[in-house]
Amino acid sequence: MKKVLIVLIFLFISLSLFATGWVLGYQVGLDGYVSSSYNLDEIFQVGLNLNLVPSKLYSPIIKVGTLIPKNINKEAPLVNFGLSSGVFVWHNHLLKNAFRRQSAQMPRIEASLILSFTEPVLHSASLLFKPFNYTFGDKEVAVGSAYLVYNFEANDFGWGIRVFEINHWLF
Amino acid sequence: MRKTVLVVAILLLITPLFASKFALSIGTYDALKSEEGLDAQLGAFYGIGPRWELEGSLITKITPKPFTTMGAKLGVNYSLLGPVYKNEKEVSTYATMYVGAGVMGNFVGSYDVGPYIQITPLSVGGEEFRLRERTLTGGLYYNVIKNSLTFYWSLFSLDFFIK
Repeated sequence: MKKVLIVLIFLFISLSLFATGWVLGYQVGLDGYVSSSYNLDEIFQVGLNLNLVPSKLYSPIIKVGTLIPKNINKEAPLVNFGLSSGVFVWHNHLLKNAFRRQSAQMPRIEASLILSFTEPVLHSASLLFKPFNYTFGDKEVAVGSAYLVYNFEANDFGWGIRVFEINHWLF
Repeated sequence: MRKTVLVVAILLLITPLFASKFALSIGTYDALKSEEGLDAQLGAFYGIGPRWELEGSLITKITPKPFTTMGAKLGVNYSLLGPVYKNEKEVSTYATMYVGAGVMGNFVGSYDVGPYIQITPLSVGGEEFRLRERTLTGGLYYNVIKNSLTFYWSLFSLDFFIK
């Protein structure tokens, strides 16, 4: 275990030597759903992002995280595995002059599978559309994203809103 | 709804006149014993001094039924750890805490009004940095109509300072 930890630490440190783009980062977000899959209260999302082809602008990103309901006594947290990709990059976007840092609008689509923590069952699947996703190099901020959610158990669709999401690349 | 859109449009149009002490904000909002669902706070800030700012926000239901409740907040905030807005005497601070007070209430879905006090223990960024992130804002709201005290909080807010 100790050796694995040391190897991982060296791997993270050495990543910057070979860096051609951001590889690993974290994400936080806040969701609200109208779906049989979830309670109506707000749900927090935290996770890790792994950039598969850092040198490419449209590189797919693997997302692994957890969905934590506000009322954790009523509803158990869930695990989510997702794949995200940029749709296009707009450098001269409408808010360009509003941001101090160089920015680009990069709408993204993200497909996720959501599983239960406690039992090996597929809870739901979701498609997330992020039209207002702004990238600042090491940071991406998305506001007003929309969800389409499919509940495997109830066999029905629902929707949701992600009020905001922050992705911060660390390595 | 139409009025809200109109107010927001006018706000956006006049924004450049107040640049760059002006920020548009989006954040979360929740309160004890509030109705189920997700609420958001859309607001604006205007610096009236190096450490002082005015805050005006609309609080609305996002899910399950968007815009079925609407509240507003109007107040002032004071930066405890240093200046946030540019001035000739001091350098702006990156990380700070805020205390604030003002009046808030609901006018769609239910009607109430009253004073509030709030604290934001961690905020990074500001006018100098064009972006500010405020976390773990908590406050007490005294509902004058119902004669009750409510604890509310905003886990995270993003403020975009306009150039």
